[in-house]
Amino acid sequence: MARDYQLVSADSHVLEPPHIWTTYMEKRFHSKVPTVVPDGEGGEAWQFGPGTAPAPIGIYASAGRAHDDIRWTGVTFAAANQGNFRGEPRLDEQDQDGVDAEVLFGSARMMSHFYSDEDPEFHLAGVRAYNDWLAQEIVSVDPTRLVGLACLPALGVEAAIAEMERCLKLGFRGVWLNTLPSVGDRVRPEDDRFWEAAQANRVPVHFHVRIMKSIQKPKPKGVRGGDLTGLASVGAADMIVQLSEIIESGVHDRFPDLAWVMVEAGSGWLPYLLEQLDDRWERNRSWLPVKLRHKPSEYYRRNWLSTFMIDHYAVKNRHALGVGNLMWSSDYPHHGCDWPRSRAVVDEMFEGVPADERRKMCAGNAVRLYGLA
Amino acid sequence: MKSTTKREYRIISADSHTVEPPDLWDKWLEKKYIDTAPKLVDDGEGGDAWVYMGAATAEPLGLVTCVGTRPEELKWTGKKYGRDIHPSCHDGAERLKIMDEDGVDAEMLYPPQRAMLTFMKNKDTEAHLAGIRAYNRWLKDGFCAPDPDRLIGIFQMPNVGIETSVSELQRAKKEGFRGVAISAWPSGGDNLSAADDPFWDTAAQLDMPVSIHLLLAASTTKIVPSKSAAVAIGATAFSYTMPLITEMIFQGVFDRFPKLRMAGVEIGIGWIPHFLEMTDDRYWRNRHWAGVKLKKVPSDYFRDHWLATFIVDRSGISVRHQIGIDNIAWSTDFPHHGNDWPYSRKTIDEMLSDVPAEERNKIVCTNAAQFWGLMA
Repeated sequence: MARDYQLVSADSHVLEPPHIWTTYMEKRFHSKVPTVVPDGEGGEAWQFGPGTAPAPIGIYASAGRAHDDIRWTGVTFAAANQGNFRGEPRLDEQDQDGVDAEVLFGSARMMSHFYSDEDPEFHLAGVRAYNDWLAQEIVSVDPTRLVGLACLPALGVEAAIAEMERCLKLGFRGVWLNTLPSVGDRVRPEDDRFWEAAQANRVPVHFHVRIMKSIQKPKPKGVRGGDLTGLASVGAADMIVQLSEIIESGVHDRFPDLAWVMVEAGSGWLPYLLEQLDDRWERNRSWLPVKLRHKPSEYYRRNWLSTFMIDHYAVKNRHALGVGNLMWSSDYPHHGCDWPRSRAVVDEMFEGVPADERRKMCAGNAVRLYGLA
Repeated sequence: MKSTTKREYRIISADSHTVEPPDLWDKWLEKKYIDTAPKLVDDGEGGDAWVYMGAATAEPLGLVTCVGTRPEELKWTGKKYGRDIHPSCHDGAERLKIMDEDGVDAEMLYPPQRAMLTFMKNKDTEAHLAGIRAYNRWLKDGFCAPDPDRLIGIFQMPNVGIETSVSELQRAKKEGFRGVAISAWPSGGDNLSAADDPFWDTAAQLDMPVSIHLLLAASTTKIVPSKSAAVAIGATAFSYTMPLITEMIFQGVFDRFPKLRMAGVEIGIGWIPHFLEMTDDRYWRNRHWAGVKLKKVPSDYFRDHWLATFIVDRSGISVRHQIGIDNIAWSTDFPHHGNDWPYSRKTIDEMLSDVPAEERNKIVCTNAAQFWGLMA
């Protein structure tokens, strides 16, 4: 019997385990792969290269900790929830939280290590290793609850298409792009071949927090500035501009059936942005070279979905955005999650929302998008 | 409603603009710096354009001089001073007439940003200061002189270090300005720091509100492109504004200077409730490991210290109570291309049709009047 999905997290994470790179990459690459080292404060960290500062796993593996116990350092793989990097325990952890399924993302910090390497073979091998590990050790345990997205390389359109098509055979249900397919600083005509291939394969494309405009080495800590400013603008700061640029590019007129997902950039700011985009388009379309068949907001409502975690404001204003365009997420096991209290948090946030609307935003939209039922 | 004001205000635009008159620099800039001033040239299509210092291309004026311009007619080039650039763009007496036609009683006047950046990019700090001072002199003794109760010039701060920022702020107060605008952090750093404190301290003591118009333009390396293919002009500006507000909150500026008042100008408002919710949520979760200690919840600082201005923003109006009814102020952006002159009253009526009269009065008038001290 098909599963009755009540709660689907459209944005959760895996933590790459210590053995991933040596198990899934050829020996000739092993001298350059990230390794697990002590973080100097009793925890463990990834070291991306000789002489680089260790990048602790701390806040990425902090599910279930009290707020005053969340730290960058002092967390080990052994002490973290084992479902962070193993499939069977992950299902138990979902059960504890009342979550039926999760859409799984990796770490952009980790992937930057491969993206920033000058050897394209190493770059591609790292991306493929992540995808192979995710498919074999996580998704295959229960593909109806562990929804895999293929991480794509930043090596141009052909390489992106090739990895997407390879991964579709491994049971993935979407792709996770850290850069635009042609690796430009904004969407360009050469990206079209990728959108065309994704549309033909009915594969939703995902951007998580931001689209990298240039490839940089991984930072020791994942949050910009190490303070709260980056966290509080939640990726919205980058996606506000990048989403606008994508819509203005006319790509949605050329590929009307492709689904796009904006992940962990929040949702409550969207009704405002869409109103402003429509207003600017109405006023300026005569003199600007932007040519669209419809109002910018219509493309958003037709082609985009966004995820949110705590966002009472988005829930309250769901009709201004579209009930079908919103997907709840836990961000498990990162520091934004409320595991194992997600049900209580969702109940509180959706108080007063009709059951059918809540069902769509908490599960139905994801079930439809990823073909889970 | 009985008014206690000298002048009765009904509609105030919290964000309008001056455009530099063709002879601004010749008349108001010290002669020895005249070579550093913007130069007026033909834009190649029969209009005027300014060549700003060091620029390879001239900047035309079409989109910043829109007086009744229909969307179909909007374009950057082809507009010329004395011919089809309306004199109200750069002449205060003419501006008053056009405000009357639009039903606008007063305007907060922000500078032409491209001209200001010309001087701010000059490494010669004397020339930099001379240019900014020339603008401020023209603003007070030229443009606003016909009626300083209706033409409210916002003093442009230079960016040559913290001591000058403080002394210019004091000068602004002495000369009767009601507000100042910064284009960089007051000490000139790339990031907010304790070095900026003397400025916030002085602003708080003088009760002088500090405006940030869209972003800290002089802190970034680029001038906002005028011919950008982006439809989203200004629509995405809040992506720059959000981190500025959160930096000030999380670095404790408002705990140290509880009387400091800030305006986020042309930043829009519909995004603010979401932003405040995120800011509070991240604060609760992460303040321990991030080492941030505040006396109040982050959103309280927004409501206690900030005013945000908007142009067309129905989504913001519908959620005004989640922002704070005292924290928002309408504007025209006149004579930039987002304005609806002479239909501002119609735009207001449509946008605020469901809003009770008392709230409407705050949004289109008294919030700005109180913030900039027009009701004393």
